[in-house]
Amino acid sequence: MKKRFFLLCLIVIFSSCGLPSSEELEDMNVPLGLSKNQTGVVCSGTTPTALSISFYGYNPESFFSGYNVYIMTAGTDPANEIKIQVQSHIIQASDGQSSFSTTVEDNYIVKNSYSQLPSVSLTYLESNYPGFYSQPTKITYNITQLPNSTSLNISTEYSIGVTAISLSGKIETLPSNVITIQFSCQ
Amino acid sequence: MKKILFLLILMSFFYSCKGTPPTNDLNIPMGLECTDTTPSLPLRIYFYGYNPEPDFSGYNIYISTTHSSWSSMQSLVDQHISNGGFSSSINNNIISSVQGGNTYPTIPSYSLSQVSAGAQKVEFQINYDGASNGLNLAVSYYIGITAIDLNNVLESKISNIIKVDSSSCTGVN
Repeated sequence: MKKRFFLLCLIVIFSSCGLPSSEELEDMNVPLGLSKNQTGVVCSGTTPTALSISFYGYNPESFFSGYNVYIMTAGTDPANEIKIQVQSHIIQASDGQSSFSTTVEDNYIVKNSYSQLPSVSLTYLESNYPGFYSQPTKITYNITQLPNSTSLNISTEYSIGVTAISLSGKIETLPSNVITIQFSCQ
Repeated sequence: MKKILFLLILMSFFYSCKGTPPTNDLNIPMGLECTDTTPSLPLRIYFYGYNPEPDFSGYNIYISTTHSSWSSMQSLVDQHISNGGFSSSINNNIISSVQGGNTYPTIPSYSLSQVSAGAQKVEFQINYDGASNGLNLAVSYYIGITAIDLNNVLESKISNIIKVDSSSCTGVN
């Protein structure tokens, strides 16, 4: 009986090693300073091809997985509408386990070039921004498709916000400031 | 003997369990920019903050004509906390909230609204440097922001840095 108890203790200790505590997770820095990159629209002649954004990030946390870019057609209260989707992304189950909502992901979060999340992956950050872990860094990102992999609609005004996410910890920050960009070339 | 052995094993597991390093409790303000493409006096800047921490006291604005990189400006911040308190040795690099005084933080939390609820844009006008001399945009200034907690003697890392003079306002690495 005693041996079993000790074994259980050891398993608990092993399983808690390396996992971030809830306090550490709460420390994840929110990306800030989201803005249009130049005009906010990449144009080929008079045809818009992508939305271009930039934001500042500083996330040296070991459990940080990348940034999610939320996008939706602009409504009357863009900041609140983005915040609602961010808060709906993680579903807390009654048994204490949590999961990501595929409804939110399929409709509101931009996929990366491998059609996966997070939108801005660690691989992208490490290859394009080598100093990312040591200081606040301005990150530029182009949105070429909607979350459901369809094309952006010309002349539509979109609301955009960015979060930092930990896939292992199943936690996501509040959204950055939210901006709106019209997908057209003036 | 067996109990002692087990205790030793348990202790060794605790010590080998490194987990993640602790991070500073204060969120870093970021997105520091000049309001005007061609700066003029008073110098108008803005940045974004999200600081829900209960003891958040406000933001300090660091200014220098010689600390021309992020790491150099961060070295000023590193000097600010010494022996469990705030050192006055770098006061000439922090803009006082009152000209001619040594009143910090530069932007006290009571003058801010909503930064505890979510990401907020904070605007500020700079009229004088850390020594309370009027700004002279014929020379270049390097500017950065920190979040500060006076009660617990905590300060965030410094934001992105901007270089400002009469001709331009640009980001610095």
